[in-house]
Amino acid sequence: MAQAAISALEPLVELFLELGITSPEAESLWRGVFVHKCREWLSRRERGEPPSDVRVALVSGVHRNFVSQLLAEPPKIAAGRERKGHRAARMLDAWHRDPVYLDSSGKPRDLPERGAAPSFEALASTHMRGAPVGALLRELYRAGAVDLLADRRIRVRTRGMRLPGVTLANLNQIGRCSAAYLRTLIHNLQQPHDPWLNEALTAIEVAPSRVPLVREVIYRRTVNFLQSLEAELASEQRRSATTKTPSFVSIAIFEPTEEATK
Amino acid sequence: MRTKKTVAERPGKNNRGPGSKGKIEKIVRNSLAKELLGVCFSSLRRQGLSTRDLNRFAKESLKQTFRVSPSRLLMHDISCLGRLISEWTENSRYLDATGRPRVLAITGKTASFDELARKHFDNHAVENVIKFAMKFKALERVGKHSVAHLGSCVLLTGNRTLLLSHAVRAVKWLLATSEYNGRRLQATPWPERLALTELPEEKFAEFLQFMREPIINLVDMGNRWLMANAAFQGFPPRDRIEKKGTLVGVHAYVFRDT
Repeated sequence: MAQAAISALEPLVELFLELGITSPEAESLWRGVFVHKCREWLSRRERGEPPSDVRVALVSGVHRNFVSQLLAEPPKIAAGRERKGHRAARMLDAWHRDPVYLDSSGKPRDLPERGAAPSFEALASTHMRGAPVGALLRELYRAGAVDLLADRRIRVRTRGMRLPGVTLANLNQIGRCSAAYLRTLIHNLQQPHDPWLNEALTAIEVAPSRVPLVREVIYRRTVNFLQSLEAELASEQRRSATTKTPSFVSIAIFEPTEEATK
Repeated sequence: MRTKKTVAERPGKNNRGPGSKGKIEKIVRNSLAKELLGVCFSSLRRQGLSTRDLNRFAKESLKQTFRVSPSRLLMHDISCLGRLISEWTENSRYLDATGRPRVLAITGKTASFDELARKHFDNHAVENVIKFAMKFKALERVGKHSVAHLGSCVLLTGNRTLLLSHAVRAVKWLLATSEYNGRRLQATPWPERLALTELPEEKFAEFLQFMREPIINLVDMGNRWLMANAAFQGFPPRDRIEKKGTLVGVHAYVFRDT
């Protein structure tokens, strides 16, 4: 029976892996769905009579305290089990902050794969102890966080770790970003005398051979601007700690496609 | 309670009647000149120069004019290295597909480091240029036959003589800006801004971290603009720079009063 269950679950596990859902997250989700399904199943057997939490606990094998909690809301990944960012994010962050890993202009250095610090191996051994360097590198490359250069050198591309593709997290992100931008546009239509920031750089013509450089410069300036602004406004965050109902202010910058800028 | 009055507030024959304003200005200017010389003297004393030598140099400097400024001469190779690095960062020929400086073969037919070295250090062997650039953390070796760009700044940290030379030029340029802006009420004064306050000692490291990136970014922006609009596109041979170039630039730094 276990073998049959494994065969049924395997495709689901593959889907979870594609979606970037971890094992603890899947287990948490699984438990919620199991308990809800158990109540539905028992109810069907009792001709529509809802079973007690104790009965659901007995049949599902989940403690009754958890059963009532799980049945109080639709099945979801428990907040405690939800992954708080990828482990590699800390390593990527160190690559952007640790002076040993920065060049003379304060940018993250391209690193040799192996060797003493500064190297990718040394960085990984400090921030992801025990992780095999090769596997870690493949995972970061798959996520688009690093580039593999000639001569076995590694270049970091992003500060955060986000799994690529159509994942739940990525779709959520698209939804949040689109909604935020639409809210700004609608606000500015409705409140022309109190507009929110919505500025754009006029499209400039660039020779095709210069496009990578120009995009790199824009990226560098933008990241620097956002980091400086965050550091400058840190004192505001400290002040808001004493307020019960703080307001939230944020800023997002993105690079529109060519069509959008014409 | 009695408070000590400043020179300008103090009553007396010096600030009565016409011309007294000019006299006070002269007194103040003399005090500031003494202070400026004092600042230079005490800094040079910390560099190991004796008061006797400094007095002699002060007298000599009033008579002597240099055909080529020693600091400019001393910084010549550093300037060449700066231009080499800038070209490596800017010229599409030396960039990879992501717009970052690519690892260059030391020698080769196209886009090699040798090509860059010959352009900016016309009388030096490529190996000497590599050693020189590595000394200032501008590049690193990748294997035996390639070099990688290591940042668009030449780091003088730890080299007291070159830092002094750099400081001499910085003082000269700050005074020139101050002189220009002070001549009369300029319609377009050269931008010069200052922010300062008393800071708890433990906050200084935090301030350094806060300012590091914006300063690097600001100077990088200035450098890109200057390179794009330089009198000589494509980096001229050094003799032409010496003769024709009017040096223009921007300088930003964090300081603490000592």
